Amino acid sequence: MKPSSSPNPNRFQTTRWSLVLSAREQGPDAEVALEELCRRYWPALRSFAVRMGCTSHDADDMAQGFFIQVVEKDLFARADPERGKLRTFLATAFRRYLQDQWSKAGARKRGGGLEILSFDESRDSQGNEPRNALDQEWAARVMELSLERLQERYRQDGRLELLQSLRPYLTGELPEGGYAALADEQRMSSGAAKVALHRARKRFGEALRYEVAETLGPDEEVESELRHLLMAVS
Amino acid sequence: MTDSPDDLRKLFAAGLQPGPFETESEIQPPELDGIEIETLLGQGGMGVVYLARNKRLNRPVALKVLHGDGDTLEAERLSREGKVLAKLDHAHILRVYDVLFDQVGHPCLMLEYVEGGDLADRIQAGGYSVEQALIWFRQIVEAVAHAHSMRVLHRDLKPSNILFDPSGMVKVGDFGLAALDRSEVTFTLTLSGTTAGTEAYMSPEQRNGEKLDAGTDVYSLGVILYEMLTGRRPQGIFSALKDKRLDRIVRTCLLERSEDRYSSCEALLQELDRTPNRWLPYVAFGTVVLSVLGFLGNALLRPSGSESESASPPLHAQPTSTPVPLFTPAPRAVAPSVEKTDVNVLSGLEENLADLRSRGNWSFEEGALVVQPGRTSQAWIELPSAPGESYDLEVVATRLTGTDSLPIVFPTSSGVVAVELDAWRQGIGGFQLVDGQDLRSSGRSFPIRYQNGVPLTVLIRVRREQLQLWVNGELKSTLALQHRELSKPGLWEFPQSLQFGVGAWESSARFDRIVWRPIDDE
Repeated sequence: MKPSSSPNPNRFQTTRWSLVLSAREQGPDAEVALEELCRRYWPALRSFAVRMGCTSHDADDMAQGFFIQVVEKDLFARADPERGKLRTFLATAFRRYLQDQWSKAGARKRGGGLEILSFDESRDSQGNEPRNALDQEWAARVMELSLERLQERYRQDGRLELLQSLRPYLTGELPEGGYAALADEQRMSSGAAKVALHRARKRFGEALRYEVAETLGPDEEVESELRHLLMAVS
Repeated sequence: MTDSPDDLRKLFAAGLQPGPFETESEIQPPELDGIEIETLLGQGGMGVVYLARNKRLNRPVALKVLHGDGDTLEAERLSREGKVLAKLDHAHILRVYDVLFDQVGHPCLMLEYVEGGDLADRIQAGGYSVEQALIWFRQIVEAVAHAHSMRVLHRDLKPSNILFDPSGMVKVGDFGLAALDRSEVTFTLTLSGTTAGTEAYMSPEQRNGEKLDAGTDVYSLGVILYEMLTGRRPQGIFSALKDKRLDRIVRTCLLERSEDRYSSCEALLQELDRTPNRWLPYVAFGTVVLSVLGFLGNALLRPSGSESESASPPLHAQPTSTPVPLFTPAPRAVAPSVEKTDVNVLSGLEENLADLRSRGNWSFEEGALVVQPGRTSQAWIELPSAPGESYDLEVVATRLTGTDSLPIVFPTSSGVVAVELDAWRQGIGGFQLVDGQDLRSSGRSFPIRYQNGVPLTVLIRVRREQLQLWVNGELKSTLALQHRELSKPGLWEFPQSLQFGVGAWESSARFDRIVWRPIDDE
């Protein structure tokens, strides 16, 4: 599937939303879907848990526990891709899960249980959670997945080494010494270096849009979500 | 791979706004072994086109860099399908020589380069005859028919994809590229066309993204024919053509359902064959009014002749039965019976020599036309009283010094062409150019050399359907003219309007006899 900046009514069938839909069913397919969801988004949820005050170890447990409970309590039963972004859905569900855990932990603490900050303690003076914390982690994860996708493409073409050289310049910056320096490094002509970097940037943009599109409902716009993530990390 | 929050922000910003990056055309052209890029020719939905030089063959080529992601599977597919296109070997199809991959694996098509402009330009300029339009159209349909026989659809037929070589022969380009370029993004771009013009040539099924067959190209051909004849595209309720048969052809091509159109290009060609070759007046584009025959002077490519009614070039000439030469060829100069109809070109020429267009030093010696090399390599002279389109021509020529060709230029129903003997310093002879090919590449040459001081008698039998050439009584070459485009060899700097003449390349020569006899082959 190609990323698209316009809504596509058929898209959710092939996005990560379909993993959510599969994960709420029973059977081996559901397990595979959940595993994939876990692999893709567990790091973001884990990092968010850290930002919310969990220790590294507890954050692992939280993220892992969340996905276990997804199965046990059929947490995805009400998941509806028509309602929007996977990011929003997972964030809401995970926050709810964290709150539950903190409530239980508070009870246990009183009985000498888990040592973590309370959910309320992680909020700022206005009672807000760290600004855009989950969105920032989400953005970082989406970027990781995009770069992994880009890497895979170059690996298949046998040009992974080339991408590694170009990677620092995907941001739009040029190496010191311009294309000539890059060309020297890559033992190619300046023109070839320019072409190679141009294509790497173009492919990076495609990979990023692909990954973002995977998380959106049918009426969501890729560019809009991209702008949201940029704001979150700015 | 994400390094820092700042890096993350920059990556999102870069990913969100790919716009500031250079477009493909602004970056450096591809690097390919043995290919030297000369200049950017243009760009479109399919890719970017450069004029390049094949250094090994030392010939110009067009290099089309296709949009595409260049990954391994894509590269393999392009390579495979490009080789199919490379097999499309037809006089009216722009050749795909090869599929190459540049330094970063991007696919490039190496194409034949022609510089005679395109049909869009000619339609815009107008001023050509209906007959000429039909000659071009037939060549286009033949090209598409050939591609269909190789199971290749064009899918993007339009006047800007129909090129001309310098001799005026049609070369249909971009065959099958729409099929090659299947990437979703590019295909969308192609479909949206970026110009209204592209969609105007698309069949309804193509516009609707449905399955395509040969009918889609037939539809586009109908649009092109109408536009060639009227200067307008048939859109909405369009005016009927004045010629009912042509109008029916166009409307059959443009039927909504593919199965209702001509079932194949061959069927369309047959229908064209049934169409008479004299046309009712058409109102042409701009302010030029075309009338029936022979009236546009230079706008018509047809050779001028005395019998204007029969001079109309046959669109679909059929081969004749076994030809019988008018002259009985003999080993030396033939002395045909002097008949009233014979035209001795040299007779009375001496007095008018200074008035004739020429290059080099031309004179008369003992009744013979003599040329001495001038300051330039080539010497030529335009001869008066050009023959019509069916005649016999006899020339007795002697090379006195030098080692190269003495051309005889003459008109035919398929264009002005030359016979050259002992040409290209390779000792070869024959007709050139045939379908844009000179003797070295046309495959129609025969070995022959002048021996300086020894005359050669050349007999050329010119008919609407074919040319034949005898040298010293021996039949050397027969060329069927059906579907042929003949033209003067490009190295010779003959005036464009020159129809009849002789010359010498870095040689001195004597022409003892130049006689032609009109033939009524109706």
